[in-house]
Amino acid sequence: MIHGVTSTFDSFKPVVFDEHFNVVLAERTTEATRTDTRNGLGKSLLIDVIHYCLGAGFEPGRSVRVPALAGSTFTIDISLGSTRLRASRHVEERGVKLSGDVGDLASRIDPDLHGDATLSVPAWTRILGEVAFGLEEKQDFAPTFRSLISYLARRSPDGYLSPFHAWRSQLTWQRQVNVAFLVGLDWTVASEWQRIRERKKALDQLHKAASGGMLSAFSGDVGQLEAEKMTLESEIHRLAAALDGFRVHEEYEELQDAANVLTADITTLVNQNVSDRRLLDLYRTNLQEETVPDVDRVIDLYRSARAAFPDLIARRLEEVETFHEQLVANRRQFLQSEVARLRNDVDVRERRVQALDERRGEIMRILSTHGALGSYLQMQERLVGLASRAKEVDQQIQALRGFKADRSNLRVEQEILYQDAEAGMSESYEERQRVVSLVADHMRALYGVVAKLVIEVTESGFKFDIETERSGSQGVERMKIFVFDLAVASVWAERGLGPGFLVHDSTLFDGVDERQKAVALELAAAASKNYGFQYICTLNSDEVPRSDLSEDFPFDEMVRLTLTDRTEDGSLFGVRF
Amino acid sequence: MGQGAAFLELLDEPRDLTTLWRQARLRSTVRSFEQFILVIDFLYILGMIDRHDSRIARVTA
Repeated sequence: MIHGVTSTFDSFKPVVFDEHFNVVLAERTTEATRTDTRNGLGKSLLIDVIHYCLGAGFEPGRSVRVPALAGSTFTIDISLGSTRLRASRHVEERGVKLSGDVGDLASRIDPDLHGDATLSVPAWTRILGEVAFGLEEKQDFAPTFRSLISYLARRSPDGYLSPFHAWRSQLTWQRQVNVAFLVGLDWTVASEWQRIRERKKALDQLHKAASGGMLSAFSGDVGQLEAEKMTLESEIHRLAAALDGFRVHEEYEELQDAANVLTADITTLVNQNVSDRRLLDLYRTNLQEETVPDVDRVIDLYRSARAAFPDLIARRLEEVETFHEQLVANRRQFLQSEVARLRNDVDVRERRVQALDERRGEIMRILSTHGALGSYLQMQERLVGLASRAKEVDQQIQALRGFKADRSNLRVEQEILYQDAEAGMSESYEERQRVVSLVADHMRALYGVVAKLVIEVTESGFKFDIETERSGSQGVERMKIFVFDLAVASVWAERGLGPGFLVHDSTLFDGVDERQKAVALELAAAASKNYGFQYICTLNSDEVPRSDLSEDFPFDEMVRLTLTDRTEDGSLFGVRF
Repeated sequence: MGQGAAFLELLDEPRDLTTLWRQARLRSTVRSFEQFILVIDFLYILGMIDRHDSRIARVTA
């Protein structure tokens, strides 16, 4: 229970609260202050002051740490369980000063602390967590005092968007863990979910880094890589064998040139033989075909000529006979000698060709079983390249496999967690049924409709919702927050646990119909009395549902502080800033 | 006689028998080797050609 709040700031209006229902009223008389962009009358600041005393971190210059409040100290007078003490905190200096029944509390951390004590803020919030919520040593992804109290004293405007959201940029796991805790679920399950999420993230980053560090672009799946590996290996095998049997010949290129020269020579000789053979055929044919007129015909010719042109005859018959014989003989001789010559040339060339061909054959044999040094070195280089690529591919396969295995393991863990969570749901049924039924009761009281606090286990953790036939309007959504908070506060108080108070800012009632506002306020008053906790709310005076409140509802008696803009010093701090 | 005249045309310079025979055959100056020889004999009889070494040449007056 919060007994009161004071400050060393001169014109601060100290406020004293009652053990059950409390209202802080903000009176607006002028239109100007309604739209004022400055801090207004300070009702939201009051809630911040409570938070600050209970260990909230505000940045310098923000909220209670604005320059106008420099040098101030705020003190909260609070009962936690059976311990009553005062906690004071300076807006600039570190630490929290405790006074009152410190001993019992502080000795939980330091047995030597008695009487007044100054604690560090973390130590203070740790104590608060223990006393208010039974929290144990700090763990990862666990509820903390600060996160839980943010649900029981929501700050405007971000705390009034949804029942399960308490502050801006709240993370998924924070939402799940804290709401689970408040509702009575096994919150450790939500922590585990986050751990799995974190590991998944780390795994993905590792995977990305590993594949990014490789030489070539990371290529698809294991199947593709395996196929590439096989191709590489067979190529490597082939190359290695080739290199193994490779014999380098120092004069490889020279031998290649020699072989080419031989080929050219052989071709020339063969061509020459082709044309000589043609000539040979011709002469042989001539030899056969050239029949010769015998000497008688010559004599006849002579005699005919002498008869025809006796004056023109220039030779004697003998001369002509001799001439003729020589002519014929020479011709025959010529042909025969040509034939002989050609045949000889052809033979010689043939033998030469044979010799050259043999020599060329020898060279070809050497060339086929050896290789040039250049080729050898090239093959070696290629082999090295292939081997390194093969290693790379292998590494990628290993990495992928490992990644897949880890991923698979995580999935299994996630599945197991999911099943555990479901099992846990039935175990914690009793606990959360109280909250569920109170939510239903309150919504029925407010709107006369059926409403259900729905808690689901999904693969990614808990899911919360308040389902009702009437949804959509801002007013209804705000009332969902109201019924949720009220149910949680009631159940915790019923068990004798919890911080013992619930604080609501006037933002909660924005957009809510007058009727519902009245019902809500009376519900809160009744619950705080029935279950034994303290309810504090701030309200704008012109939004009080006077006409809908019950006649015997002593509203004005429960207003502990009225802030007004009627006078300059009517705000919480007595000054406007 | 006509063949003789045509034949003489082939002898613008001294030629050996193989060449003469080829050219004569090409230009169809003679129809056979026999005729070829006879034409040469004939021109020799008329003193219009003679043999020099292994060649046949025209006789210049």
